[in-house]
Amino acid sequence: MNLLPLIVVIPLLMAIVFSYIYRSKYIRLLTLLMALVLLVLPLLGLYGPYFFGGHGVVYIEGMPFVSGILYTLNPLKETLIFTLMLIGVLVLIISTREERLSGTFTALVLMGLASVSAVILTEDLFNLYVFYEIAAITQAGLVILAGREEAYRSAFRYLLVGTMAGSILLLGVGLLLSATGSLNIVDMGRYLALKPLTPTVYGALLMLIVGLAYGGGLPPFHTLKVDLYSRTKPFVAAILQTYSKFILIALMLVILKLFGGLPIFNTTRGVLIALSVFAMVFGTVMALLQDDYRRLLAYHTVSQGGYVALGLALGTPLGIVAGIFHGINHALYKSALFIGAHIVEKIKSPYMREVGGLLLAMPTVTFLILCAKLASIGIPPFNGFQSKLLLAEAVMSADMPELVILMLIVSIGTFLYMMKAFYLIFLKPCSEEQLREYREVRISKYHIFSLGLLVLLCIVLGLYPDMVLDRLLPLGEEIAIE
Amino acid sequence: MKITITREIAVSLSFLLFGAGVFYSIYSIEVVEGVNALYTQVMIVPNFVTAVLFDWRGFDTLGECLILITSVLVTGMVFGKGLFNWDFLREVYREEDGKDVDLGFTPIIKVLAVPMAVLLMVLGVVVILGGHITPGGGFQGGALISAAYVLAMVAFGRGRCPVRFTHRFLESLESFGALLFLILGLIGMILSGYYLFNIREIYGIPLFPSPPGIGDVGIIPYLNIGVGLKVLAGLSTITTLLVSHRIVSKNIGRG
Amino acid sequence: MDYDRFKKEMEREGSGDSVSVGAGLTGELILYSFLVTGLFLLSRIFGKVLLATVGILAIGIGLHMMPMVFRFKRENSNHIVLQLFWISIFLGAISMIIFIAGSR
Repeated sequence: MNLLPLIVVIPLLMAIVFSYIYRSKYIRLLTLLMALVLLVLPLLGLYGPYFFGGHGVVYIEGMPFVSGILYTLNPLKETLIFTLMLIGVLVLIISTREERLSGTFTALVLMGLASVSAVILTEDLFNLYVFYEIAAITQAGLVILAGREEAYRSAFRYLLVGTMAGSILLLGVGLLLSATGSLNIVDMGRYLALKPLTPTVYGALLMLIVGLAYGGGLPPFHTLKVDLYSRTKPFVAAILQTYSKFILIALMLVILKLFGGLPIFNTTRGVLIALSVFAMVFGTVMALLQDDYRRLLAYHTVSQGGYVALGLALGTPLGIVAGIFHGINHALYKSALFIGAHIVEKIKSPYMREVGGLLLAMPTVTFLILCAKLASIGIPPFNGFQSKLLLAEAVMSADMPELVILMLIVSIGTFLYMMKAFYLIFLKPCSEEQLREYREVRISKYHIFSLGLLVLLCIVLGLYPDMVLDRLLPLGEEIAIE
Repeated sequence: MKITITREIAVSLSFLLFGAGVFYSIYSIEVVEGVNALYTQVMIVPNFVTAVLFDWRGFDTLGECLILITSVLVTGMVFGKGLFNWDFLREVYREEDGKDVDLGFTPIIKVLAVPMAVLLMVLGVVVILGGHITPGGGFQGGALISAAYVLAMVAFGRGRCPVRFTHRFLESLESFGALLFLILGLIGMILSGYYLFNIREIYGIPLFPSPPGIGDVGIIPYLNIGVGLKVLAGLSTITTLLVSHRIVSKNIGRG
Repeated sequence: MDYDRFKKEMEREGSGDSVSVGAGLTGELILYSFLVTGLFLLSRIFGKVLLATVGILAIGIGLHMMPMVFRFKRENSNHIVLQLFWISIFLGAISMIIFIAGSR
């Protein structure tokens, strides 16, 4: 029996249970157990289609239509879900070291994991919209958990804009339904390719792009996302950024599948490339100006999101593969960086000028964070290098050498602010007294374990990128646009 | 922040463009029937909307329920449920003494509110249970019942409300409704291999007793009941949160 | 644009040490090179003399407006009014692009 829906259903079920028993004494233990269960989930499904409720393909006037909701699993989706669950597990493990952990945190993380995996797995546009909304509300909720005034403010602002962007996306889904008579993405794409385009389809495309920019944190929505990441606890930001990166990948793939073969796609591609380049440059320039380590990392997330979107927007096989690979790598090293930021915040303060000399207090953590930083800049032998190289190749073969120059410039900027942060936090000399103060704070083994595991994965993927690339390449060729 | 006139003009222009685009695309809609032909030809239950919602696209309905669940959970967190840090909320609720103020309305409203509430509740139950035959269903019925509860609470105040649901009870009801939906889906998966499969009968016994001639009802009424419980509890929970200070005080560890 | 003026601006914002000034200057240069490379790309794709002229004009205006980075930072602040302003401009711009491209 194909157990594919359990990837979504088990976290949902447990989320409801956790939100009901949120005050229980055994929350920590249960959270750890749940983390173990999550690791098994990606292995449950079989490759191929899965029809909900047994409603399979029907033929109406000779055209095949999927009558119900269709999920598919393929190696690409499996890799994405595995990365997602891995980071979810590490965040849950770290959360058990928090003082006031309650079931609501675990419930929200599980809800987010379930909804993002549904967004990745689904082949149905309305189903995607439903889970996209759940993911948006979950992200706001995870920020509210921090309980500070600015967290409330940024979450409220995110939801306010989210209501607008979500309704626009829903309207787009409705327009596409009316224009094609189906909600299945493959069926819709086939129908659109057969019939001449109407303004309805253009409107739908416009609305999908708005939804994509909101869900993935592309400009002009990037300031909202940055607020979210920087106002919450940094280890929560690790899972938040993973959610939005994977939603970005999923929605990009949807746009490619729907509009890939159409004459409008050239313009769409231009718009998407412009958006992603804006994200790259804006993120880097703003990160250079920050004093708060959390905000710096948040802007870095935006700029790397631009890389991911750039690769996918090219629409070539290599571009799609490079974009998705960079998304996976980014999720790994960025989570490591955010966990590092959590340790820094725990020891002293998130403001870079108030810390200094942490190298002497915790050499292991410093080394691990340095590795994650090098991965994020794109230095061999880490994974960031592999995916950025692949991206540069893809952009080059798509005949846009200017963008490669821009990517290099942005990389130099990334190097500069990452090293600036590293110097200010870890290397800047500090007094004996401060050092003693640092040494009093105990860093839990769970934090170091999570950090170490992520950095190890970064190195492994940097040395053997084929492990992931082999799984992505066939799918990239299938989706790509000639 | 001061906004210059240039920016205002730019905003109005861009909204004009966007609005024109949306209007143009909606104006030129030509509806293609597509897969909907199937939905209108195959009869599962007499109410075709319910058939689409709970049979063809049951998983979407589950997702919609979960949107509500998540919203209720997040609303609870806005009022202090399980936060990492309560300093801000403690500051906001500094001067509240943790007691609920029950104002209540005049006797005219009170006298009218009780029968209205009872009627609304009964109507809600009918709408939920008959969701597969007549117009309506879990969402509508649940909203009716919670409207009845809100009406009674507004008229009498929370303390003296004739319809007494405690906060904990509502939370349990909500979780139970959602779990019912999820577990019915799992049972379908065990029996047929498909999640949310509409099980017609088990060993020849129909799952829901209904007169002949109204199609294969299967698990649809149970799904309706689950959704109804969830919606009624969710909306009522949000209302109690807005009305009551006591819950917030309890959440933030005072009282 | 001279270094001293830039440093003075940075000091007014409360971060005038050499690390921050260096970072700020890099940001400025990245913005400027983004402008230049973007225009190169556009003029190559559309291949119009007019666009090239406009591009040179834009580069000149950019030089004149330096330092741009402070203005840029203000526009990227998390003030809700500015966020909504840029979102509405975004909506207008992409609807114009897509519908004009569609009408051809």
